[in-house]
Amino acid sequence: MNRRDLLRRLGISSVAAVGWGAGVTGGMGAQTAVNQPAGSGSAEGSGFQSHTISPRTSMPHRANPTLVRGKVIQPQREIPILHQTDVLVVGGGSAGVVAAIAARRTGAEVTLVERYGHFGGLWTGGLVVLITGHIVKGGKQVCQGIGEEIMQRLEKLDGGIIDRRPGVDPTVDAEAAKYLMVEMVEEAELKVFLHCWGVDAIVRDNEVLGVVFESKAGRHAVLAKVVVDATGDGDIFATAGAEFEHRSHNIGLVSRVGNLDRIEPPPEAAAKVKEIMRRLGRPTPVTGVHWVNMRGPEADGLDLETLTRMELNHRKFIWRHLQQVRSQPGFERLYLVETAPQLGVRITRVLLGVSMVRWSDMEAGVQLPDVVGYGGGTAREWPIPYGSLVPEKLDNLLAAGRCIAAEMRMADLVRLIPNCFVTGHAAGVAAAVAVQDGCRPRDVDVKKVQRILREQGAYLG
Amino acid sequence: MKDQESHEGSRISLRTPSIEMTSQQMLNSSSYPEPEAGYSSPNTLPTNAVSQIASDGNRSEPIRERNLLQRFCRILSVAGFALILGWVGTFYELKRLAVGLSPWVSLSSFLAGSVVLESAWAALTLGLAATLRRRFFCRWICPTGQCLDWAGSFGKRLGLKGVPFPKIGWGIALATLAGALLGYPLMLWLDPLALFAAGVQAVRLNPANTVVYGLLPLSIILITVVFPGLWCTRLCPLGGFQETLYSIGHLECRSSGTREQAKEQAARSAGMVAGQIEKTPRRIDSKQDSEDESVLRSSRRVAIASAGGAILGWFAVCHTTSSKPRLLRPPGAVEESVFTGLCVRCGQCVESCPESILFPQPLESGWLGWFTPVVHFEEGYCREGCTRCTEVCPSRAIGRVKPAEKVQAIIGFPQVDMGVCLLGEEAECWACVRACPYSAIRYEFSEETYTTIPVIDPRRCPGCGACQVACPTKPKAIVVAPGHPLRPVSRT
Repeated sequence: MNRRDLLRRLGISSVAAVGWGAGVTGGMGAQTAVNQPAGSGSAEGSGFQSHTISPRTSMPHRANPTLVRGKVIQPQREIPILHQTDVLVVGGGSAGVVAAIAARRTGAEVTLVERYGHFGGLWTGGLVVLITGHIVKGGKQVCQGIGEEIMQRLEKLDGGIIDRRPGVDPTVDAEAAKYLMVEMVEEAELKVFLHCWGVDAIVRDNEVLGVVFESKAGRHAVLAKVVVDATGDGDIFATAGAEFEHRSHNIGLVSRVGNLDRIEPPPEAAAKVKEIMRRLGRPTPVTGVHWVNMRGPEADGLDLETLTRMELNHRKFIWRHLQQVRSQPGFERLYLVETAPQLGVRITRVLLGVSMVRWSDMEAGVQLPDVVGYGGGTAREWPIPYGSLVPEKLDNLLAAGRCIAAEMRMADLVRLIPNCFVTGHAAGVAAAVAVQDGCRPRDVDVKKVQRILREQGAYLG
Repeated sequence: MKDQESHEGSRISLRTPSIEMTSQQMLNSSSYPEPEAGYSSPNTLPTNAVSQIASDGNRSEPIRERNLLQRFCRILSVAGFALILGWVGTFYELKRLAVGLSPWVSLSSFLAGSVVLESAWAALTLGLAATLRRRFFCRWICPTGQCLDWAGSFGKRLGLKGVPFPKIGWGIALATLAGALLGYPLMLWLDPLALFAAGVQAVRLNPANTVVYGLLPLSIILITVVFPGLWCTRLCPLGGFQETLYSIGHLECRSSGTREQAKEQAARSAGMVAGQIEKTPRRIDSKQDSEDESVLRSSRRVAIASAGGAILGWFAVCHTTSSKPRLLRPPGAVEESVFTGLCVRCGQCVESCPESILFPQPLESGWLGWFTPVVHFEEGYCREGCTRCTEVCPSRAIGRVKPAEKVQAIIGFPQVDMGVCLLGEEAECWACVRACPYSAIRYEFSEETYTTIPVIDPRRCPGCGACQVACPTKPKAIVVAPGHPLRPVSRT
């Protein structure tokens, strides 16, 4: 340890001491006392790990919207190209991560862009930690391939997954899943951009050439040969002009409650306890912590007012409900671990594809020629045709996850986490094959896609 | 008659000691042992033999030929009925018509259910034929009669004989019709065509149902083996009904002409023992004879049978309407109070159901409803657009339903137990709403309590059971229960 280090350490501790003292003596004053050094220009020598990157600057490539005759007009401007890639996967949820890994394993150069700071989307950020929809009657698991690999690897993590037995829906730990996906994404050597919200598709003559992202760094473009829309809400195909069905569905908010292993209800209240426990969710890999689902009302998940109201109301309800439960004898120790960062929007946009996932295909039990996966959650497995990932007219784009083309009653199954793994896997392989063969995704050799999917362990009947 | 019997019996015993006798022949001769006092000879009487003996050679030949022809017709009919009733998948119209041929069933379902069966024209024709030709149907068509013929000859071969027993078939028929007038046909299930259909279905159904539907036909076969001819001549209500019709058809003769004329015409139109009667050396007491020919021999008996039937029918109607709907009946089933009476227990609905959700229930249905079909939604549900059970029902206990109007054919209405329903624990369950073929279920969210409950639209829900089958909980949270909000409980 040299002298400078020693001084720096002393500096930190002295500031901490000042802060501590101020905190004890006079409330708000402590804040100013602590914040003062940080606000005073250069941090050089002050002991803070903050440095001036640029002393006086403004956002580059600015062309602010302006008010023209009462209307806000966005002038023409250049958007800097951040990156160029073979396959661009927009959305790092359960479908997007699997699609990116699959495309990479098929041999394409892949870029994965995610709006939040973690992977998994609604699976982890929405706390939809129950893996359901991968089993059909008789306990057969139809979600194989990379989805199954994820589950196997979660099993190896301590506290990663519980109830992983044949014929049972397992529950994962959201943090374990987030960690695992980081590990897998790094193993696959994907180019990743987090905190980027895909806002617009770059389109020429009905062909998607890339996607524009909004971030703290402003707008950037990523150019790609094929784009996989794994946004869940179909943001990219919608902005690119593809036709879709706009649907409403239930919007809820999942939460986690802790100390459920410490409830001590009086024995005479057994019936009441059972009733209370019915609304306290299901166990997670963390001891004493349950995840509590919420179905919520049916609403439009694309409407800003609705989304705002849902967030506010749901958070109020979760808090108040738990307080009410805590007022019951024996439940005093319960506490709210967290509410999900992401609102549980189930279905919004559903692509109008070349074909769609149909109930009748399941009933008929037919082997579709372009099947790229099977979904479950029903008595019989249902085939996912390649056409359900391909927009009717738009080119160079494939959908994956809950926004693929599906009938009303099937969309409810398509959206389940393991089925998102399956559609993601298919979209990733198909996108890579399209790049390799230099063709449009709609012209891809489905036989080849099926062969590669099988090689990667996917179940195709 | 008994004089004639004993007289002729002795002649037979002299000349032809062992002659097989079929129930057909017994029908022709009405020679099943009479229970009346003075019955002396236990031997049954083979008519063919009598006519052969009694008549000259040129007369016996056509009769023998006719008997052979009748037998041939009935064997053909056995094959035809068995083919139509047993044919898998097709001939639905014919299956219904096959049992509906019975004029007794047609009349009963007209009286009780106020419906005219499609087979009514055929039944009417057969009924008219029965007024002109004694037991026309039994002789030429009845497949059950032919089967019992065989059973009877088997019994005879074992050396079993008939026992004296009163004719009660006409009484059963009349009582049932009287009951039908008040809304409850009492013993329609004794119709020989229904029995034949039940026998055919028993062979085709799974073992459990085979026992159920085979029970009645088998017991009648056994009765016939032990007491050859007993069923056809004494017990069969369709036979008795035909005899009643015949008597009605010849009432005029009795009143206008002499009894002798009436008797002779009756015998002639019966088309058999004419020669015998003419050539019989000793004339039979005309009073006795006409009594035997006419079922309506005593207005007192007719009155007793009708009144008894009416009272029992009334009692049955009261018994079933006073209780709430307790059972799920097939779609289009008539009111419970009539259903158990109109149902002929032929088992065709149970056999025809592609989802195998119909079961004959001996216990659930109460003592009046033994073996009537009830719906169980354990394995399957009542498919939208499927109307097979309504198509095969011969007596319209299950009324006709058009595929497009299936939603109006109410079976029951689902009840939800929110203490079991997964929505009560906010689970991601959409099973019932997804399964509902009529989009009748909606999940209603409450902003106050933040709870979701399934709400079922009674205008769209016929209680097809698809939700119950799909419900993943054990026990089922959604169960189709008898009754329907749009169909008030039947009057008490």
